[in-house]
Amino acid sequence: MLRRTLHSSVAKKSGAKVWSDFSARSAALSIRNDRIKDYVLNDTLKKSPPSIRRRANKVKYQSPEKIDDVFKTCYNFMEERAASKYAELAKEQDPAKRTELAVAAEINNPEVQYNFQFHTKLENDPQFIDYQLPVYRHLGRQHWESYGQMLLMQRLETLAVIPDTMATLVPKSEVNIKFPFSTGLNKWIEPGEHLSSNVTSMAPAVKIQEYEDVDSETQLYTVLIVNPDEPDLRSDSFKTTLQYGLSNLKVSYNDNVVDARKFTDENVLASYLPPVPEKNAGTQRFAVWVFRQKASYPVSQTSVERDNFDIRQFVNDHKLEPVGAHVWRSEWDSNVSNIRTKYGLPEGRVFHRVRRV
Amino acid sequence: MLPVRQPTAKRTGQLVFQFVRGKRTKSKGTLAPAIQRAVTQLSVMSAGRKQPKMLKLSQEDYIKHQTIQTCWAMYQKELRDKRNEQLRLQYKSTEAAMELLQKLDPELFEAANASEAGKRFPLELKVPTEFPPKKIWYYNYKVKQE
Amino acid sequence: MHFVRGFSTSQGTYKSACSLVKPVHHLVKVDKSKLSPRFEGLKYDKNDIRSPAFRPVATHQDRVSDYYHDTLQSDLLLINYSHKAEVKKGVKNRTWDYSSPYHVNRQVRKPKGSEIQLPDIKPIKWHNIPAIESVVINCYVKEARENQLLPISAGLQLQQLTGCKPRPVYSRTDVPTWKVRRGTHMGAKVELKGRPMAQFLSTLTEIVLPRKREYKGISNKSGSRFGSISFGLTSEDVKFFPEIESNQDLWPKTFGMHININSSAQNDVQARTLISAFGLPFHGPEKLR
Repeated sequence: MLRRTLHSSVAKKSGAKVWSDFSARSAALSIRNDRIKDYVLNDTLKKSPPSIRRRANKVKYQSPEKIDDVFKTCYNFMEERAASKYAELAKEQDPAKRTELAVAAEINNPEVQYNFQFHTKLENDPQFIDYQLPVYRHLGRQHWESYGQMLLMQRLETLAVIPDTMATLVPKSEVNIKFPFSTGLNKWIEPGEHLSSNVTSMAPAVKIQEYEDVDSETQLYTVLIVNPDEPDLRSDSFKTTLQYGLSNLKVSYNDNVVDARKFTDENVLASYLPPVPEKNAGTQRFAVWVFRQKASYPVSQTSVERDNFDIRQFVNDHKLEPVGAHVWRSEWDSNVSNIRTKYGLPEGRVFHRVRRV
Repeated sequence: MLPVRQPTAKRTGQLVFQFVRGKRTKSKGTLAPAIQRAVTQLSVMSAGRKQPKMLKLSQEDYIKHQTIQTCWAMYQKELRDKRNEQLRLQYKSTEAAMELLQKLDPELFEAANASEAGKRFPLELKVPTEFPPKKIWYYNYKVKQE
Repeated sequence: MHFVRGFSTSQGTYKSACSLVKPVHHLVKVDKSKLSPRFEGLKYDKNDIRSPAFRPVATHQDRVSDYYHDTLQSDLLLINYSHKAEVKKGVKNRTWDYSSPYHVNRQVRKPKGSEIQLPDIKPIKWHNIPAIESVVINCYVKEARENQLLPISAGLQLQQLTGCKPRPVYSRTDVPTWKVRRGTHMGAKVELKGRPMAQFLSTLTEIVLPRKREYKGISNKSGSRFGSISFGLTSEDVKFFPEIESNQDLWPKTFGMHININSSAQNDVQARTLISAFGLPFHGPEKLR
């Protein structure tokens, strides 16, 4: 009994209206659309939900009874708890705990939940989902872990990307790739997808979404795309080729798509070499690896050999920390020769069941 | 010719959505009465027919519902924590009191610490209700003298 | 072993003599059911309203559990208090002393004075106060071996009394003396927890048991030694349940049943004290072991 009265008095002192006062809070923590906001936070009486568009559905739809009254009570209850979290946050110094408290103070806010659940998370609009805010990063991470991360790890494992290129991956940031629209495939690639040589003819844009607390001003990233399936006839095996290498990249929480506009020649370790699999060489994997750098290293003083590229050695030499990966697959198709001429590559070999001299 | 379906919705200006199950086509009387009885009993138990329609909430109402659910869980957790804390304090103060009693009066301590195995709550102790009956069941109940 | 993927030849190392479990190279737990693109609705938690399996739980006040938390818990803590009590070790299996080489791989010895190992008895503190965990009602119909329609009726009776869906019970073994064959449908059982359990307990103690003639109570001899108490209701007693009584003509035959009250008490002495608080009387001399 004693504890309870103490508790609520603390909450009252710090001002219980923490969720509705936007003088010091980001606008992304509120629902933008006034009608929806009014419907969620105030009465639903004699109104139909704005998210239902068709008239017939509007007529048919009925909100659960008494949901408004219960919601109001619950909203006040949780706002009070959030206020005490904000009061704790004001005193806290430790950055990890501050993030935790900032998440705890907003995670139950219905407006935040609405914004996150009903807007696109991958191509986020910072008006609705602002990954600068710890709460959206937390929700984003949960969302990624519930599907994207598991899918990626499953594909990396089944395609044997993990032991074949790097030894393992502890996924920390979400990596997505997309090829330029002019190639005809305007979508984010699912890990492990088979892509035609036309689609992959131009360098992909790599989206690096951080969910952890990193200093986006100083943190630098390296992106490597390698092909571990280049046939090596001399040893009757395969060798790894570096298809694309970028280094010293900077990304922020919201603006994090690395495409040609984001970097200069000083960032390019190795220019993009499109996948041009040779006929009958089988399916080739193209592994995208994203690393956090410990320090900046100038490209001009870094020598990389595309052919016989040793990714593990490279990572060791530059003290890179793998944080994310992606993979796609390519196979020979009739368009490969066009790509070869476009990039000035020699004509590819054709392998046969019986070696021809 | 197919029979013409009668419209099931009433035409009273406003649209009324009403679900009406069609007429049974299978005849009922072919089974022996005992078996028919068992079939009816099984159908009463099976969930098939009695499944209510799934609730479809709009986005806004779903958020409201979710808020209410989290709030309820949070409230229950607070309640649970409070109760546990109360019980912990009770245990601690019992322990302190017994410690003191052991120093002050070992005889009383022995009596207080005697095992209470076989203790029963009195039968008159009832689970409280909001609407107790006017006439209590054991209105002339007397504790047996043994 | 040096392992190289061959481009034109298949390597001997690929051909294993036994089935290999492929190693996993990462620590992320993959839930395959979440990755499948089919059946979106089934991926939600059961307590999510979008899930087809959603069932509202906290639909009404649970007065039995409120009574337990508000009144009984602190009393039970005090009743079971023992000053400076320590963990009472239960008897455990004994190992051999390995003085003989034949002791290696010999089965461990059974504990002294008991056929099975017994659990440790921990002192009751604020976090392990005995509580009723579940009520299991078991209805076994002897006559079912002649009439297979009876267990269906028995199941329906359980559903009517509890409001929960019963599970069928089948005989497990052949018992020639009772003319029972294995796999025969013999009755039904249902496990009650939470609100249905509270509802059933209060009906039982407030309506049914007080109407039994000459009812003395549950025998003090009953119990599993580990905190669950069981008793039975005859087919006559079952007729006192209001669900059956209100339409008696629908129930020409009722079935007796066994009721097991499972509690988190560590022995029967604690369990009986707990259960007596819910209005269930006991009779007979107290059995302390």
